[in-house]
Amino acid sequence: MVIDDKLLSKLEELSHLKVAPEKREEIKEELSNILNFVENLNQLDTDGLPDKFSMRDTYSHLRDDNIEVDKNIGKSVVENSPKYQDSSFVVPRIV
Amino acid sequence: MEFEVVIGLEVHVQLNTKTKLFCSCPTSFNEKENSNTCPTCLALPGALPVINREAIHKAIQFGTAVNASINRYSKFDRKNYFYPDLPSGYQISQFYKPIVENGYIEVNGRKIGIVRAHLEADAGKNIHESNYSKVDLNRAGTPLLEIVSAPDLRSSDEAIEYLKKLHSIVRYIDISDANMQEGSFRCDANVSIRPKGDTKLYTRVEIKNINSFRFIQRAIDYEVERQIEAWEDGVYEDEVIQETRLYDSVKNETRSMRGKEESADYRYFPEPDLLEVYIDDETLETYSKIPELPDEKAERFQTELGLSEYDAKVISSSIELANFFEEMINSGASVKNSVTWLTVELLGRLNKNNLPITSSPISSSKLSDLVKAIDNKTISGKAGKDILDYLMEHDISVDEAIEKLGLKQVNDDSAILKLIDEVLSKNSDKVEEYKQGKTKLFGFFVGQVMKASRGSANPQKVNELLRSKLS
Amino acid sequence: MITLKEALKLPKEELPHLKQDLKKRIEEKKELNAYISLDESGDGVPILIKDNIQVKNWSVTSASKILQGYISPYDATVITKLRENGLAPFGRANMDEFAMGSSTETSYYGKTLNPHDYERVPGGSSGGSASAVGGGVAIASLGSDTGGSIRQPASFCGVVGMKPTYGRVSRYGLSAYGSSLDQIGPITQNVEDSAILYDIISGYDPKDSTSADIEYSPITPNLNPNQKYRIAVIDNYVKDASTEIQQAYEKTIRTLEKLGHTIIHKEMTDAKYDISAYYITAMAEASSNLARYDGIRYGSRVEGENLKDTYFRTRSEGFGDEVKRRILVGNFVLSSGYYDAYYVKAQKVRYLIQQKYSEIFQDADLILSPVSPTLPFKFGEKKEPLDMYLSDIYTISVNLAGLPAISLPVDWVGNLPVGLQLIGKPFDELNLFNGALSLEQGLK
Repeated sequence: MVIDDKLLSKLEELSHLKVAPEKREEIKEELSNILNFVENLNQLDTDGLPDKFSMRDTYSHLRDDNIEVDKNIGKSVVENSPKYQDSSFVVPRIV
Repeated sequence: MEFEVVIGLEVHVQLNTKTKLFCSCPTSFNEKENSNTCPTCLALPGALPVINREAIHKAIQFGTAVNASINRYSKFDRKNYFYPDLPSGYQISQFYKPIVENGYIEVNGRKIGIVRAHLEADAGKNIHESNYSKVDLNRAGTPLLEIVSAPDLRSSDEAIEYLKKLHSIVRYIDISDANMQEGSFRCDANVSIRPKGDTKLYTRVEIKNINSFRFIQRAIDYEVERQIEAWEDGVYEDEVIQETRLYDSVKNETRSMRGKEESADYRYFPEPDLLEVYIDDETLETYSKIPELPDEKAERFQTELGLSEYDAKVISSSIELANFFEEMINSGASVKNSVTWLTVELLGRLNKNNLPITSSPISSSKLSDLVKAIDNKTISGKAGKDILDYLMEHDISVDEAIEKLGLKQVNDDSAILKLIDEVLSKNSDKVEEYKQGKTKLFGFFVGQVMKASRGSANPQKVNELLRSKLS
Repeated sequence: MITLKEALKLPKEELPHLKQDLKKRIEEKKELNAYISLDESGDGVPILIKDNIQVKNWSVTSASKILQGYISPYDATVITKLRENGLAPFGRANMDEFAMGSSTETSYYGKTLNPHDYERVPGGSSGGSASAVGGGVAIASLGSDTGGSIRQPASFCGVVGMKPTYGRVSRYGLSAYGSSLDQIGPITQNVEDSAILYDIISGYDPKDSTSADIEYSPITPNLNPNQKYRIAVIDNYVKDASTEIQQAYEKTIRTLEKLGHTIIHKEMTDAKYDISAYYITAMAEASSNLARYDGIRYGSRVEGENLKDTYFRTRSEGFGDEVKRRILVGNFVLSSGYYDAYYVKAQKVRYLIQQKYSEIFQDADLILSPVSPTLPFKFGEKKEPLDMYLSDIYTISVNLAGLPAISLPVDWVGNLPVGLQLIGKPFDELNLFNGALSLEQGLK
């Protein structure tokens, strides 16, 4: 798999981050190498195998609908956040 | 060319569990911002989800109510995207294997398919100020049941009927407050058109987040017209693309969402922090128990109480109305009068003041008292209307109102005969004319007696006694 | 350095003195840079905590710039268990950023040194934890292992590192990297200490839905180094290791035989497939797990011209290069059109690997395997990301199959330690520890 500029841009969009311009070529090569390597899995026949790995044949524990809340947690997180007003987190205007 | 409309509806119902879907924070609203939060719904490093069994319970109840299959094995998946009200950067939903599938509800005799209903976590709330936005995560993590209909609806009327029925069912089984204004019942519509007779599905447009039945109908109607016009003008390919549009209720139009890029890639994959959900036999049996549904209740009202189909449907359309009615009957009010006085008299007055039955100033026991007073002829029907008007404004008992307004019906024969004698003696000439054959004057005499009694005489008695007096 | 077992026997009054002494040693060897900071919390025996395990009121940053300023408001379940058993979190251990690495070279706080050779890496990602214990500046430490991040640094630093069966130890409070692979585990001076710390942190936790709801019996009181086992050696693996590793391997086999264990010979699937299945899975899960780091609710934010710009700048400046690489690849393998060919395929291969291990365990009680293909390498030696990934060949299949494993020092080459690992059956930690204890004693 070759990572070209278009694909890298799409991945940056999905990841919500940008690679520094001077590192772009290097990253494209590194990612291509990684993906080329992992494609070795195509050499293995996996037809009919289950597609979810699990340690045991158990299922999700279901929790009872009982309230348990420590109001201090929300408070301390807000007061320690990069930008907040009253008790809300503040972000640039969402359009 | 004639066109056919194809509508599918997606409804997000906020479940009325005590705690959130994946953590034990309370779901109660109107609290200080970010006070009902924990590491999980704040998406702190290291936090993990744990499923609320009551949400599973309510989902299964819903599935049972809509004749759907309950998947014994279901699972949760991550839907990945960035938005400030989505703290973890992914929503935990059910993409690959939902808990409920393949149900239907009947709308005007037609079966409307419900493709799936699945559980997912709600996002928080963004509040927009002039040049910044505020994020409150109290709502983040609240359980939602997303109910997806098949594209079986063929008109905006039918769509509204479906929504009303769905709303009624959800309220009947009490899995949600289902309040559209408060956001616990949210509807998105998928609309497409096609030439009549064509079976292909054409481009569908999603209209999002409209918060009243009336606006949903208008939005659908506008969108249908827009699509038809585009087809007829030969610009369908350009004008009608698969996209999400917002409805503007002021201008009554749908608009493309600005700056929309190519459709999002949510990269769904199974939630690695949860195992599959398994419902065993015992749980399935317990969780499938639901109370009587609207259609069953309507049926029972007809067979057991003799209501007409129309009346039965009206009363059973909402659980609150049905409960109101049943409380009246159970306290001894007659069925016939209860139907009239509830559906015509009370509802008429409530509708005029834009009040739902839940905000009625007159309780079921009070209306029942009024009906019983009419049943046993303590007051006349006309007096009843006056009393009802009075009770809408004044919080007193029915007896007190009857007393206050002096509307107690006179049933006593001797009292009525006295009045009849008075009227007849005052109008002896007319009595003569009546005896000569002017039978029309009977109504006049009745009117005069009623007038003399200030409306309180029992009209049937007046009729009977006057007839015997004049014969 | 006093062992954990001895420290737990100390009367309470002596603990402050113990801590003072420890602080002095840490200061004397501060060039190791094993400790990010010397936070304290509670009065028990001091245990060094990897910087991705939540301790209430500590700044827990996963050695990343993006979490600078975050103060954790809660304790991880393992920390609660420490406190309940006379232990106390003491110091944040350096690590590779977000646990992504095998050398602790990607930390925001700079690299940690190998205590036996300052020009060489301590291994990663739990490099700080292992270096501190190996350098005599920690009694014991907690690390995390997703693809070998406890066992490999333990081997490079000459100490014992153990990864429990997946689901044995709660992940609640462990900053997630590869959710289906992560486990917290002990890094200690010897096997018995490892068992003690393992007992304390293990057990079902209803707050972690992947935690195993099975009965737990403590290992430590039941340790038996005299039990004899059938131990499998993987022939096709060892031939890819360096000469020194191969020699240590042979030597260990002879020791085990002398101790009375039976050696049987087995083959595993080519490790190159393990690498692929591991990195696809780990990167996919990481790309999603790290989406929460956006500077909105906590950590450090870089304001942009608008909301989207803020997201991009915060994450671009807050994450190091390796983390960015993994997020990008992770999003690739999950994206529409590639999901089945990469992510789903990798899960099916995991099943194959699990099956292969099951087959081997029909005949064997334990597996003896190398931990690293080479001796601890020098800083800057692994320039290409892929080279770094390939150094994980012996450890990652254990995480893919969720098995328990323990790495212990078996030999020295000059001043450099060589470690090997024993791998056990799922939830069979007692036999794993017995085998390790037997080997440790046999090597004395």
